[in-house]
Amino acid sequence: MSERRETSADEERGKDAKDPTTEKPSTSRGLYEEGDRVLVPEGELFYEGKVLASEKENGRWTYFVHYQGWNKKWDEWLPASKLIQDTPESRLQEHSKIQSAAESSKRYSKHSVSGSKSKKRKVEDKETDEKKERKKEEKKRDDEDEDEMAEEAVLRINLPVSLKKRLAQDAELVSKQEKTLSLPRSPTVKKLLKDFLEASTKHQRRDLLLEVVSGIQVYFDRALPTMLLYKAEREQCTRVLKSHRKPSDIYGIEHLLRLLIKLPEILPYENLEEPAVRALETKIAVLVGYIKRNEQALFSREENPGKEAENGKQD
Amino acid sequence: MNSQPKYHQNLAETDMIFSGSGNDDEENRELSMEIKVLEAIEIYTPSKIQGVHGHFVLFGLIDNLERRLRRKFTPDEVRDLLDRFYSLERVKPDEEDEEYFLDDEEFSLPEDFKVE
Repeated sequence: MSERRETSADEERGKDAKDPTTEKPSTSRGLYEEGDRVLVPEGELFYEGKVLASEKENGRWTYFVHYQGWNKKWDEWLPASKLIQDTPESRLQEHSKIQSAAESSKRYSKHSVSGSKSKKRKVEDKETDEKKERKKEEKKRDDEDEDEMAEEAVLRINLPVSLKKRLAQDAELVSKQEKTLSLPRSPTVKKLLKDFLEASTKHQRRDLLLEVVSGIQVYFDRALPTMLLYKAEREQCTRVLKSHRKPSDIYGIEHLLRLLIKLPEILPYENLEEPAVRALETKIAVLVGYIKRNEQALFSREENPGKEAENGKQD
Repeated sequence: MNSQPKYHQNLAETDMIFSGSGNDDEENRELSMEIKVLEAIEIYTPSKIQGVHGHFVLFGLIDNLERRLRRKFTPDEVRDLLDRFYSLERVKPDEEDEEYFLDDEEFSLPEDFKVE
């Protein structure tokens, strides 16, 4: 992230650097133009931005700013008064306060989540996740402190080793050997979740379990085609969803577990406080416990030997 | 004099209606609950509750209210509470939620899952 930022910042600065004070006033040009690097003060910090467009409205210029390293959905129109030209000089001056996307993930846990300023934090979370994944590869757990801080507000999913092994096996079969599952799976995700709720009548907050399970099913149906498939499964997916059924009516435990792994990336942290995230973890742990207890029955597996096999395959 | 009592009686009836059971404590509780709901809505916005994350955002709102008001709320209760301020069914889902799952990306297991 920061590498990308630096290279492009250099290119841009060479091309567009200019002193805003010597800019001659003109009716057709604002203080900044397309491609200009700017710093956007927000609270005590500065965000790095790039001007994508400018517009004059009622005699005043506004600039459409993209925040470097942030998702484009946070792009916004800002008046010149909110912007500082990003020059080596202004950087030097504000050095300690400049907030790059990669750095800000460390700050996450210090903030309480509220209001519109939390929008950017959502992107931080996603990046925190990516970063975490990479970190895990690179240096396992020797930097516990930093990880801990960033992870604090992010949902943690703990799967028993046996379920992790199942997923690894699943990955091997589907993505390496290209053996797709016979569909529909039995039980389907819908049936599995329904059975789970029926088995949980004694849970003291079954009403909340129901809310969580419904949320998982909504995510599952939306996320399956774009997030939960290995390449080898794409074509099969297009075919089975043609029948106008929902993914939760066709797919089973393997894909549900894949969703649970993705859940920390999907949740809208700007609309959740940390205690809620912790409470959510305990509810998901109840579901994972159920899956573990019923592992044998849920995973009875048949791979697709050929491409036609899922026709009429019912257990 | 004859018409006066009737007038008073009506007033008394209205009083009864406004104070509900006639219990000030309860009224205050109700009020402070509504304030807490309105405060929480800043984070748990109705447009999010109507979107793809809706169940989880409602879950968060319930958790928030239960923590701050020290009592249990069922999801239905909270939906009813929200209905006092918004007609939820007419609130449009958050726009960005509509595009949430559009980006295609192949699934891959986190490194620490790769058990030999």
